[in-house]
Amino acid sequence: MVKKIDSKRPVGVGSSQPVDAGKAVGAGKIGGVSQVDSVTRSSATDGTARVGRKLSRADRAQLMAVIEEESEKLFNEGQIPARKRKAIEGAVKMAIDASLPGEGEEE
Amino acid sequence: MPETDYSQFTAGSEELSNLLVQEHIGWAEAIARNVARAWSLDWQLDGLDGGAFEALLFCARRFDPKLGVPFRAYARKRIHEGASEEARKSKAWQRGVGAGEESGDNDAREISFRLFDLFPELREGYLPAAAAEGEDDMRGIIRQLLTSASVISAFNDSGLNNPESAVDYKAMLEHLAALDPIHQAILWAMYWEGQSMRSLAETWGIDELTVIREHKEILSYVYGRMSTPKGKVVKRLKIRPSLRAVAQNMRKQKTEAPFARFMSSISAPVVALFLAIQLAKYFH
Repeated sequence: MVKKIDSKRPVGVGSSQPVDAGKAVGAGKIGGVSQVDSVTRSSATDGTARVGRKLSRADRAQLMAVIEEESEKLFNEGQIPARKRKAIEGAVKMAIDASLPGEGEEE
Repeated sequence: MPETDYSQFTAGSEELSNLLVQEHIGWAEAIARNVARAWSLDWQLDGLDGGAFEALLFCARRFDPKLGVPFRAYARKRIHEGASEEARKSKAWQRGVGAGEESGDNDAREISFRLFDLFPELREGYLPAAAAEGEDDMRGIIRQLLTSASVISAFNDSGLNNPESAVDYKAMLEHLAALDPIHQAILWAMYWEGQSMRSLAETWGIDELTVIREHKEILSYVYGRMSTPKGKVVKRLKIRPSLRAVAQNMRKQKTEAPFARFMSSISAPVVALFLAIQLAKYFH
């Protein structure tokens, strides 16, 4: 059985827009490339891949406080004797202190 | 203050190197002073000024302005290295002067010096990047540094031939010995054999970044094990995809896990000493 086609136009469909004539895709010339070298191995670490936040003297107090808090947690379980805490916590504090920008360096 | 434009100068010329030294001597001294202060040394008496100046001169002679890298970014690491190496050679360091009454301060100096080898970005004035890309996690980075300092301390003490020191780090070494062999191999090569991450990556034929990131993951995991109460489950550390081939290869070749081997070699005297300490405490 063939269904009767309704002659009414569907609501909301406007007239179609004319299509722009597309530009022909030309065989453009690539200038300047004479030879493609073979791919060489490059390390992603060249540059800043391993670097995080820049140290600032303004962050010193916060950094020292975090070191003390995290050290407390590390030694709290007694898996490393408390007498080692001074050397371990002190080492991290020294490393941070020695890495901070010197006076007058930060501008 | 914006840096002078050096592009008109020829790399390696006397004119350029003199100008660079003249303009940056104060900056290099500031770095040396800061390093000296952190280690309670005198930046002039202990020779840190000389180390920093030599490094500045070295960089000034080699700096090529045409590469587009600012001079300070290029030279800071080497100047820091120059100052800290002089510090370590100084008599004050060797004798423990300024390190306080307790040996902990002197140990701290040694450990912090080693931290610069493992986290060279500190010398450049940056915190290490977080384990996950794009993350700015100061707390996580501090945890990694504390764990790294603990492993260095365990290594320093392991050479003392003192069973008591082995007892001190027994729990941590057990955690290290329970890691996957590939993770043990990374820590062993870096901390016990002093291998750089770059050379380890070259040995395994992988990118250095893979080793850097996995090292950070291992430290975070070990921190979790050390700071979590016994009995609580800590999620097992996975091997990142770029390391799986190396890990499989190690399994095929039946490579012995280094910390597991190390623990088995020291466990008998350590157990005996541990029992002796417990008995002494009991009868005291």
